[in-house]
Amino acid sequence: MSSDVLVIGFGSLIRGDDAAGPLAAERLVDRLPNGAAEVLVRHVLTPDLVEPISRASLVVFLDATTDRPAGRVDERPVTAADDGSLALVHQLEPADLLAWAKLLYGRVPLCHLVTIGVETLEFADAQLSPAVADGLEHMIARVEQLVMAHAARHSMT
Amino acid sequence: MNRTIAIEPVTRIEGHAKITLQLDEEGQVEDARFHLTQFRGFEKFCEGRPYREMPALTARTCGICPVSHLIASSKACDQLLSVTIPPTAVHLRRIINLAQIAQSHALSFFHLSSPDLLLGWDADPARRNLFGVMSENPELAKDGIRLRQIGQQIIEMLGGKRIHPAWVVPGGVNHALDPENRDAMIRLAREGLDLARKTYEFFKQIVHRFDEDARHFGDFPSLFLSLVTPRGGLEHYDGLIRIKDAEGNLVEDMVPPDDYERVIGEAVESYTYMKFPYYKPRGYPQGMYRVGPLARLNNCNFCGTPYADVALAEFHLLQEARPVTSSFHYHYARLVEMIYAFESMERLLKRPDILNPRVRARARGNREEGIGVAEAPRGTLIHHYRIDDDGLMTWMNLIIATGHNNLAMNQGVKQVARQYVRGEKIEEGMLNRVEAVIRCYDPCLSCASHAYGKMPMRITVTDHRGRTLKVLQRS
Repeated sequence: MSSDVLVIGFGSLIRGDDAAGPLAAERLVDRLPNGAAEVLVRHVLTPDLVEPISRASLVVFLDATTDRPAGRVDERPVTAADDGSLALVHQLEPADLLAWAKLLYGRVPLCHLVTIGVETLEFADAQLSPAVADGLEHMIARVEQLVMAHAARHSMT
Repeated sequence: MNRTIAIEPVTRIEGHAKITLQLDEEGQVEDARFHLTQFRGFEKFCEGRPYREMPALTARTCGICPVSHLIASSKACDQLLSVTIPPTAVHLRRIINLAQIAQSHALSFFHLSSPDLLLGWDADPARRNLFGVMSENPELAKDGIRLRQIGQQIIEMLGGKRIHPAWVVPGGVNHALDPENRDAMIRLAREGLDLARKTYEFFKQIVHRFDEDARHFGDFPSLFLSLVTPRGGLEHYDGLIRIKDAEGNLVEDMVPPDDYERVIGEAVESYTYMKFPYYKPRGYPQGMYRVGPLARLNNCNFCGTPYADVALAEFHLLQEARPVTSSFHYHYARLVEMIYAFESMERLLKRPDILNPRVRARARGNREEGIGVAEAPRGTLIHHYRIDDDGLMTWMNLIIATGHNNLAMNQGVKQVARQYVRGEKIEEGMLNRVEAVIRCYDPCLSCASHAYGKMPMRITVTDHRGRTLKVLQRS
């Protein structure tokens, strides 16, 4: 099993469905086989993630999004931002971290972003709306697929 | 024709502010002002809350220096409880305070100011940022990221999380330190010290490139205020208030923090939400003083750790035989304090009593008034509370580190603007220098906006369509 896989769930636990990324990541800790991945839970993405990202072969980010219907899970590959200078240190995006990894360490891992559409971002305490709570299992399952497929590819090479 | 230039927002600082420059008919800078444009209201909405909530509530003032508020607030609450907290709790609070200072100074130097220092004031703004630093000096950028991470990791190991850890509480801290975390933190402190010393040596090589700039970057005589130990050493957690003048004369010494109101007054102005603290015996605004790393190093007789004491001696060479007066040298002072922080953390972690399980004194409220004073990364932080018989807050005053520097920041902005801004042709690099003098102070403006109740205010209440429902105004 590959152990150089990083799963990063990020979002605010007190802003409704924005908690989806962290909550999914917390459940993945028990769902993924031992050693399959290192799972991190973060409020926001920060520069200190650049170094572990640069060492990974696969990084999967989990986040909530307002661009999709509530509960809908999507996944897309992420590439390094063309211009990392536009990044705001307090509001980094996955593509920014990849750009910084490329610049500082000369390396960019395979990267995916798995998102779930939100219904509400009102103040709450790690509470998801019903649609997002139902969709969280799909989010988790998608990450499991990505991690296991990556592990299978690595074991064949 | 007179005109006003507004620099808004001021970039690469914490919080929201603008700078206005008033030009006369010849295009020369006549006046300059630093405006804090955000309003918080902590001193008011904390009224009626239980005093035990204050550490957690006031920590939410800021995401960079919440530990500073936890420390000062808990110290104020310790007084309300009338307790002396266990010695191990003091040591642990010191460690988390030092970790906070280290990571905050790293953020200031590497993320906020290094683009100017490495790439130049006049560099293309599209490149004059952290990404540009990464391109120019990737090792320095990596060291900066790692230094901040080390400080935050130590905070997380002690308090359970990096930001707003609920561990420093009235009476002490929530839980004791375990051996595994203690050992891990010692390793981190050693790594941090190596990186801090490396950065300091690097900056020593380049600092004299800025000698001419330093003469105009907030270089003026002022008082300097900070805490010191009873022997006059560098102090961040406890201590007594010392004030020196620009010639190095002691103006006030060994003042108990509880007596702060005798030496510190506060004024307000209509153009900013930040108050103007001043040295009371000299009045406002003549009683201007500075706080923070520059003041702490000017005021202390020694640091008390080996590498930091060498660096302190080298710091004093910047302006021999008297306090260092240029605000530019806040950058230098921050690097000295980073060295001190890591050396001190290791020393504290190796104490035989650091794992003692007795870390909290418990009591009910026994006094009506409590004052907590500590040194935050940016300067002296004061929390002053009054409670009723039920332990509910009736009054609060916060004097924030950045607020102490308000008069000095305004003077610095004016000095830099008069030196570099020429009205006939305004260039971006000129305005960046005006911003850069503010960055020397590393202001925390989210913390510093505490002027509720004393300045003109207009509040407009609108509905969801933006229609005005009500206007409240106080002139």
